[in-house]
Amino acid sequence: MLGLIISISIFFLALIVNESMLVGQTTAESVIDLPKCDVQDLRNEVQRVYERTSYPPYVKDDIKDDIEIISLYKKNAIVSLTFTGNNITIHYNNGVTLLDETIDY
Amino acid sequence: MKLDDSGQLSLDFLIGFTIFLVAFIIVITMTSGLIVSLMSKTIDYDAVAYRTGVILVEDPGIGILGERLDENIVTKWEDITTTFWADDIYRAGLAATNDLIKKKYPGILSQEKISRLVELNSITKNEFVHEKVLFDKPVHQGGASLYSYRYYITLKSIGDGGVLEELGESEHPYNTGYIKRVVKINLTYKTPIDVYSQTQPGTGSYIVSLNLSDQSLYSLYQPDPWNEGVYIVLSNVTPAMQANFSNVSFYQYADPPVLINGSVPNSTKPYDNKIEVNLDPDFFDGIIEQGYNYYFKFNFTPDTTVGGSTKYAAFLPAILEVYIW
Amino acid sequence: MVDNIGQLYTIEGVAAAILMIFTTYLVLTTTTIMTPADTHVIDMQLEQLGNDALAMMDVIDPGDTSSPLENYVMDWISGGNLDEFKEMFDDYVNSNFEGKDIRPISFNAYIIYRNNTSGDVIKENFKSGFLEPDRSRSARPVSVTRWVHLTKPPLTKPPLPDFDSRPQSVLLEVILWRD
Repeated sequence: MLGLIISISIFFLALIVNESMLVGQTTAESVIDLPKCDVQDLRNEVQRVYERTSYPPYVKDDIKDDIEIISLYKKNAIVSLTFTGNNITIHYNNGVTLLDETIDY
Repeated sequence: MKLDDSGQLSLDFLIGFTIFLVAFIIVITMTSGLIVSLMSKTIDYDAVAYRTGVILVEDPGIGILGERLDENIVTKWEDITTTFWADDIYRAGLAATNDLIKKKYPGILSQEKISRLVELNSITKNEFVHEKVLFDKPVHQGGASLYSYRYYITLKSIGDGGVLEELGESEHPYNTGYIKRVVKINLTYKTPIDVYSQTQPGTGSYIVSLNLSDQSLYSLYQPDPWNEGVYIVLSNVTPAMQANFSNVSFYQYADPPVLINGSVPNSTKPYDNKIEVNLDPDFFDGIIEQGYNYYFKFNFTPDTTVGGSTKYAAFLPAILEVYIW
Repeated sequence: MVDNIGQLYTIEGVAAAILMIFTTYLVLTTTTIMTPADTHVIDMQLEQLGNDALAMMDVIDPGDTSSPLENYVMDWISGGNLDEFKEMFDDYVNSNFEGKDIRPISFNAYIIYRNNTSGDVIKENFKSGFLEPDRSRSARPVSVTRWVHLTKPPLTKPPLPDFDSRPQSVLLEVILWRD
């Protein structure tokens, strides 16, 4: 009878340990989850493109398409850019992280 | 047991109980292995190392002056020299705060901040780095403060591997939290605009431009005369040029050019095949404005053939390593 | 003691022992205990290092109009080789290890670009100039990317299929692993 009690308590312990594997996330994992470098890179690229004043608007539209479509297919992120006369709007969503930003010039 | 009052255990019972106990001990030994792996301490050190790396490389740092909420003034932390500077500096990061750089590139460090951090660290004997970079709060034990983490931070240049700066204790155990970041250092704080001159047909003077209107995407280097001053060096100067050198004038580009200062101070007599101009920020107070272009004219009398090209100090690639234990 | 009352103590003890050991065995094999600390930290450090190296290669030096990374990619598209890219990236990622000959981190690079007329997204390996290094079984590769802006790709026929010669942004992907 004692054996039965001890078996049951071991099962309970195992359940707790198993759950903790699902719930706990190591710090390194959460660092990898946040697309910090991707967002910094995207912002930098968008600003470089915007500041090329020698490009006609249709060229900038093509480059916007480049960035949006390649982000969707290769980086698994939805990016939406708007260039207006005096600001840039960036929208980024990779399923885990959402960014909305307006950069004024 | 037989229900009598003899008080004896049967052998049967003892054997069964013994087997049970042995199995129990084996099981406990096996399950303790399950729990031990959850108590690992090394994750913590890597997290602190990563956070310290981010604060040093990507954060320009912040200093806030003022005691009341309505008089808080946000400044660059490296400029703070008030009496209670330890309270006024909130975070000491090394990222350069030149507006162009902050907007686009979080990995470029400012030499001025690096020097200031090393200086404050040597004054406060490690407390400054513990509190304002690692964010490690001390435990006070009988008059002494005890910190939870120990650190070793180095900055080495890529290529020759020479150590530029070192903070903390270099003796560290094998298992530490660790992060390695690749950075570039903006050395324009007091480093020369180097002009390599060679004899070519010239007009008896040499021009070095100071463009304050170039806000372009091309240039992450923006001259900052109001904070850093200007330092120009003409190298490979021949003895004939040295003999003929008279002074340096400062003009504004316009049509016709506007003379601002006919003979700037601190233009040293040539030595060592070099002619230097070292101007403090005070010189530029009120005489120049953002958005206009200026130039320095090196005057030689009589006319000497002078020519050359201007080269700005490039960013220096370096490695920043943080060890925490 | 030995009489004709049936006692089951031995068997009860043995049964309890077998039950406990069997349960523990079952439990240990079903709960997967990863060593949580080691694997992810190494990945995170490698990824941060790769991203840093690409970002620093993309810094425009004072006096220039484009970054070294943009120049190398443009060179390769015009038909050159990638030795300089390899050398600079190698320097940034593998520097300062004890003993100059140790190069523990290896890498391979791809370029991803879009064709404007067909709308296709194409991925090409930087074939010329990269050996296929042996990858050991335990290596865990990490992928890092960087946007590269090309202002004037050449009009001549480049070694890439369906590549437009128009100003565009391409994605450079570098896979790195620790041998």
